[in-house]
Amino acid sequence: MIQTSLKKSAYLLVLILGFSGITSVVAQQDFNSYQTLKSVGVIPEDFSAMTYSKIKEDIKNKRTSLEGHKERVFLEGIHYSIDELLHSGMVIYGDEITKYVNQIADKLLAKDASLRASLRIYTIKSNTTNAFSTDQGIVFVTTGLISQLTSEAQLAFVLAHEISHYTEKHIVETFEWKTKTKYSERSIERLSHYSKEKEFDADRLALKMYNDAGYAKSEILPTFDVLLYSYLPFDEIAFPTNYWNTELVYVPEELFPTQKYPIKAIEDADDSKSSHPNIKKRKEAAEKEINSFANWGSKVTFLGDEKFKYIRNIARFESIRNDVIDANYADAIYTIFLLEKEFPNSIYLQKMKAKAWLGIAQLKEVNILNRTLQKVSEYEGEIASLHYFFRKVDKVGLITMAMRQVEDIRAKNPDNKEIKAVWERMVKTLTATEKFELSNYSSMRYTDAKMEFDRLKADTTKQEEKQQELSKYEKIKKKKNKNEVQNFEAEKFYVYAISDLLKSEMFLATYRKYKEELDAIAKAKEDSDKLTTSERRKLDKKAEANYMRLDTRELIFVEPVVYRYNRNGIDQVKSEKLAEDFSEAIITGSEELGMNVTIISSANLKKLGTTGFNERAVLLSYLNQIAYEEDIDVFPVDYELLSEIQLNYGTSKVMFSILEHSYQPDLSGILVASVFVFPAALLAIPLELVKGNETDLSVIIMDIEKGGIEVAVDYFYREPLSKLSMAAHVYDVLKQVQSKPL
Amino acid sequence: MKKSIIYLVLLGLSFSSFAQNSGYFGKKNVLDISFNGQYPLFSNMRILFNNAPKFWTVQDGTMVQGYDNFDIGFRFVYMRTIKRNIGIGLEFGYDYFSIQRNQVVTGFSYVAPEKMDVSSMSIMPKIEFTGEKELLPMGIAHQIGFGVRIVNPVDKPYSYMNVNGNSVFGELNKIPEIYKYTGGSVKGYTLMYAINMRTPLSKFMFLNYGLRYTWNFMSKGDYNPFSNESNLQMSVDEFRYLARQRKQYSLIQASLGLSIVF
Repeated sequence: MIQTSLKKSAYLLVLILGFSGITSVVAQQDFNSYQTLKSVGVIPEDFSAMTYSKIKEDIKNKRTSLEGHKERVFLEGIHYSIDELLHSGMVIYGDEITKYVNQIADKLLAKDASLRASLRIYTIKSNTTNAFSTDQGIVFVTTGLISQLTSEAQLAFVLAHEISHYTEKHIVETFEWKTKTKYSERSIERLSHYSKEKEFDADRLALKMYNDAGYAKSEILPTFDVLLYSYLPFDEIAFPTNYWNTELVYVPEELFPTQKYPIKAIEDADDSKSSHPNIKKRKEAAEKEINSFANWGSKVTFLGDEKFKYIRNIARFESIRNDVIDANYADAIYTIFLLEKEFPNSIYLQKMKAKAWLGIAQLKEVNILNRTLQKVSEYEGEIASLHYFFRKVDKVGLITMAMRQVEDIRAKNPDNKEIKAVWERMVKTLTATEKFELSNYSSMRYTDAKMEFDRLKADTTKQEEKQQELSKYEKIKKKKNKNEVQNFEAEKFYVYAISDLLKSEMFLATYRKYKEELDAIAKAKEDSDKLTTSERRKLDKKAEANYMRLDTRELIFVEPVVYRYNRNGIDQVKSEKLAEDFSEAIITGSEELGMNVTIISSANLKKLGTTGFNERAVLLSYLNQIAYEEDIDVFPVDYELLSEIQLNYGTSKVMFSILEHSYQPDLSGILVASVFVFPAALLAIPLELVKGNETDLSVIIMDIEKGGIEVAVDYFYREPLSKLSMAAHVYDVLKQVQSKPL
Repeated sequence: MKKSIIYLVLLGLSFSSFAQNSGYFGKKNVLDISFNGQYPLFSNMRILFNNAPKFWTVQDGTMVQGYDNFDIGFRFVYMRTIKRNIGIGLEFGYDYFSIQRNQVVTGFSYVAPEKMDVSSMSIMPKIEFTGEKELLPMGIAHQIGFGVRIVNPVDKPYSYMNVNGNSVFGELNKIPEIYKYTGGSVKGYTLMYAINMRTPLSKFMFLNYGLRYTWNFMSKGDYNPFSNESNLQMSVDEFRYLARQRKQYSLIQASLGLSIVF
């Protein structure tokens, strides 16, 4: 197990003091050195208050018209689901997009100050094109929506629609409707009909709000087009087949589709089971409503078109990051292609491109790339040609292409630490690729080889004479030599793609390093196969004993979660309270060991503030990345931010934990059996009563410096849950993590 | 947070625990002090359904018949965890129960001797174990022990009375000194299985509770339970037989106590 040495505390102090930190004031984004959006300012109550206290408060203030049990069910359901989203790491506040959307809301509600004051608007970093409001007055807008819009007015209309859902209490009404409606085969259709009525209602009220604000009617119908085609990238530009061609590499056109893939979305889609009416119906209804207003304004923007485009670009830049997190690498590359025309010098785009290509290579290496690509039957629009290409190219070819792209990015940015780290990981992937051998590559550039081949082809007589002079063995060797231009094969384009790297000392040294590592692993496995069973068991035992010994005294503990199950599923309120106990138990356990453990969780956000909130979001994003593609060693999307966290806390070890508990003794079988064998019940019943407690503690420890998950363990025990028992188990885990390897 | 995704990650990547033995907050030595009690269910069922003799006790200058009383005892255990889920220990136990002789034929009359109190001392090495991923001494654990048991009569003046069927008559008499039991203790072996829970009360103390199942092995001796005993003085064989029989029916005990860890 590789040991991580901790930074000297004095050195750390200097670094921390000199560090700007993750919380910063909102500064104008420089797209050339873009940084992902972070939350800014004082953390809002929506994020920092405990969910059970929000529910208690709402019940006390009679926020809904619901009564008794119904009210509790509704409030628990809505608060826990919304808080889960708020704490997902995807929602941000106080950032430029959020501020912009709030300014539009100010404009829309200029005449209704009290309504404006009751609304809170936040941004979700998600490529889904969506906006929605909640019963408690929160409006969420996704970066995906903003990236697709073409004007401020369109955003104003969407916002007005969501505000109308809130003012009309559509959520609580729908809940009440569902509780009153008996289930039948036609329930979905009836719910769909009910829901569509609410949507028309919201559109109608939104139009009034939009009109009152003075926005132009010309932007209303195009907003529906945005929604209709929102599943496509934000632009439809053909991906050039020569996009990657350079002096060093040539990609044959045959690897791209010869046909175009039509866009399938239609306005008059079947909406019989949908919550929203189809676009045709919404447009028709909106048109009628538009005509009912006489005094239309002419403003497409109040805040300025430049500002809108600036905000939209932020959203588009964020969409690449979202795609990288979700392992939608092909989509990320297409978005980068769309954006790099406007931002050719953006380091951010370069970094993301390198990460996307690395991801593609890694997925291809383990033969799972296709699951992240569009299915052939789903090909649609210009982006389809890119998906087609990634499906078509064989493994070695695609990984070589990835190496080529990452090397080009590194060569342009030789001093960039992050790009260098991606490059190293790329070389590692290349080295590990089955059938990848340096000897299979030509040290000639594609263009040189092609030129020479053409010249030789023209001079066939000379070539034949030369051939005849050779022995059989020389002829064979010649045929196998990739540097022989006679062997030039246009379809094996990648054979020439790394000709420069074959001469690069840095590449060769890195390649050799990883090759030696792989050889050592293979040799260790070979040696292990030769051992006797007892020798192997001894070796395995040592490895097992060392599994959790990380020799670290510092840890970041992120979001300790507790799930307390009852007969109906998760008891959310108890779970949340137990999570607070779990946090206290972590402190107790770590203090007992004299370890320095920092807890970054939704339960202590009030104390941690926005810095902690942002750090938590970065760590969760990395965890999500790992979760999406657990089969590969994913490169962290927020590499620099993770490095900052490491410096701030003096550790690269990050721990996540989930504790699940239920008490469900099953006596039914025993009671039946005891009728026939009475004494057996005396043994079985108490046993089952005690065994009824089931607790499962899962722990993972990530190393944000080395990357990936270092420890993943699962403990199962049968005892009632208490602060002390949790602390004892945490102590047990930390004790091992703290120990030096044997 | 996408808790579900994290959970999937955890499930997907979890290995079994190969953890070291870190004890309870680092403490691996345990001292259990517990009291155990047992309602002698089987013994009383024999009285109810199998015509076994009821227990005679002295009450207000006479003797009355009744069922077997609640047995009590206590035990000290020292246990050390040798692995995170395995511990070994030594248990010293002391139990207190009663035995009842059949009516004794003296000359032409029957007498009913008062029930005799008996103490039983046991010493047994035991092993404690739990699930692979659990953490001793906390939580639920199985215990298995095998040890020596020494059964002693409680030395005190016992009474007897003449009896006719189930009714006593005449004077309440003390068993004369010369008829007192002098056979001494009898030995046997005990196999024990217990399921025990330790719930933490603090960083150094637990509440422990559980159930014990014991099987007692003692030599039957040369005694015929169907013959009417004619000697007021109990023989060692009869004592052994009654103690053995009584312990054999002491199958289940509940225990409650405190554990100190250090």
